[in-house]
Amino acid sequence: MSRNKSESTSALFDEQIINADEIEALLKDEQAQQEWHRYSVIRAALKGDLNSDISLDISERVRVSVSQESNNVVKPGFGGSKSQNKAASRWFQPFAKVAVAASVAVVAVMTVQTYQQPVTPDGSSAEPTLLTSPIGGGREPVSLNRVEPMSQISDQQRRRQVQSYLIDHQQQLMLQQKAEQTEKDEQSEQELNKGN
Amino acid sequence: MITRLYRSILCGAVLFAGTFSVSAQQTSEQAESGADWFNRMAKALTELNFEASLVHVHGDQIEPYQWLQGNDPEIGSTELLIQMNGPDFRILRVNNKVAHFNTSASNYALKSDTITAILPAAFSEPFERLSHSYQVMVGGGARVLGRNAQHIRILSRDNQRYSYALWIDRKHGMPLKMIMMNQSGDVVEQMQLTSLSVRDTAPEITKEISNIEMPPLLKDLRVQSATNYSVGPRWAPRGFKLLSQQSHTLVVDATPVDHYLFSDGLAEYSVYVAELTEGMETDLALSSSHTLFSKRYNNFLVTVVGQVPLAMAQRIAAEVK
Repeated sequence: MSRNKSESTSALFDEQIINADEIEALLKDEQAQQEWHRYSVIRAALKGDLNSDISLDISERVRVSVSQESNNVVKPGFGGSKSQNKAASRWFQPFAKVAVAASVAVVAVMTVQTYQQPVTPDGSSAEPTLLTSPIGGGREPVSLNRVEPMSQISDQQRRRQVQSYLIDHQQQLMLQQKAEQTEKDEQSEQELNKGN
Repeated sequence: MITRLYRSILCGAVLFAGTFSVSAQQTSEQAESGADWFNRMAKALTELNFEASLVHVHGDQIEPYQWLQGNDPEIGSTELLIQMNGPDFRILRVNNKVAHFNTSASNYALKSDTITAILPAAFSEPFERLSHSYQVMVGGGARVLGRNAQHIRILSRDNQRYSYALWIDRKHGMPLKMIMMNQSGDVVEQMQLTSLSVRDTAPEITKEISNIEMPPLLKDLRVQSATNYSVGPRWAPRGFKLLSQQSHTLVVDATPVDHYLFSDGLAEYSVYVAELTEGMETDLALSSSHTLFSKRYNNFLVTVVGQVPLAMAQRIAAEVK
């Protein structure tokens, strides 16, 4: 007769007869003992004679699980998932910084090669290297209305022309925003000075 | 009998007058509360502590973002926007410095107190700044993001510009949904929050990000020089003001241009004047969230770029002489 331990415990508890080997096995098994304890608490509760100082000791289990969990320190939550948190906190890890910096350097070189950077007589670049339409290249033309039919070769030229104007407009907006802000700062400074 | 009739007429007149004055009062109240809703949004966008995620749709592109903002008495105001698809791109604002972190270009910082990638900067300012060209209409209530939202519309007074429909959280004032439309009501751009948690204190992460080393502040390296050509814009739609005029070269193809920048507080457009050279396309028009229109004027190429409808861009270009 082969029963698993739970069944044996249950059978024993219900005052069914199980063999000596099984009892022996149960006595050695800590899990079975705990099960027994739970059964007796449940029965007592059902009968209504539960003594109030019988306690289900969960503190031990909490302590164990906490000590296990504390190894995975949870970073301050930004989104729901772990990967989001990981992505959000990637900035703050020095090695990631180096990796990002390296990739920026590579791409920056490519950018300079692709877009001609006008160079001032003193050798420094006249234009700041920046991506002006950073949001997913959001200003992509949706429809290009041709006023007259054009060859495929000029299509590229046209695209380039359109892109260069769109990008320049974005860049001007950003620089303008900065100029406005500076103005605002100056104004508030002046007001402060007046206050003094 | 006569007295009775007289009385009923009088009564009717009083009632009529009453209704009239009530309706007049309602109109003024409505106009007022429209601006109030806008100002509540502006306040939420600068003062609220929140963590949100959103999708931004423009043309055929759909982009998910994470967005959070915190106001801490010690750190000040921080805001973070992270693009979740494609190359890692994030914008971080700490007080009045905005840093752009991009894996495909150099990182740089700007001086600004708003992140303008999704919502126009004007949405964080009082409505008065727009009232010369725009008005606010109050719509009804709606359920947006499982919340009780108030619908408002921002319309240009001349009905010639892009308009905005906004759904604002009645409890916190956060914009939950935004639609930008052209004058015929076609959707040009959309934004929808997909989650929003408003907090009492700044999100934990803002404490960490405020310690991030900011990339170099973008210095205006451009040599500011006066415009070269006698041709320039002679007309601007009502409410648009000239913000700057100077000459520079385009970054991509190094064309020298005269540049004029106009703004009405919400929408901006640029006017470019370039000397016509061989290989330059003269008649271009494209319309999406940004319009581009090019035309030839004598030996010059006039190009108008901006967040204005095509018809307006054409009119502006026609008035460049």
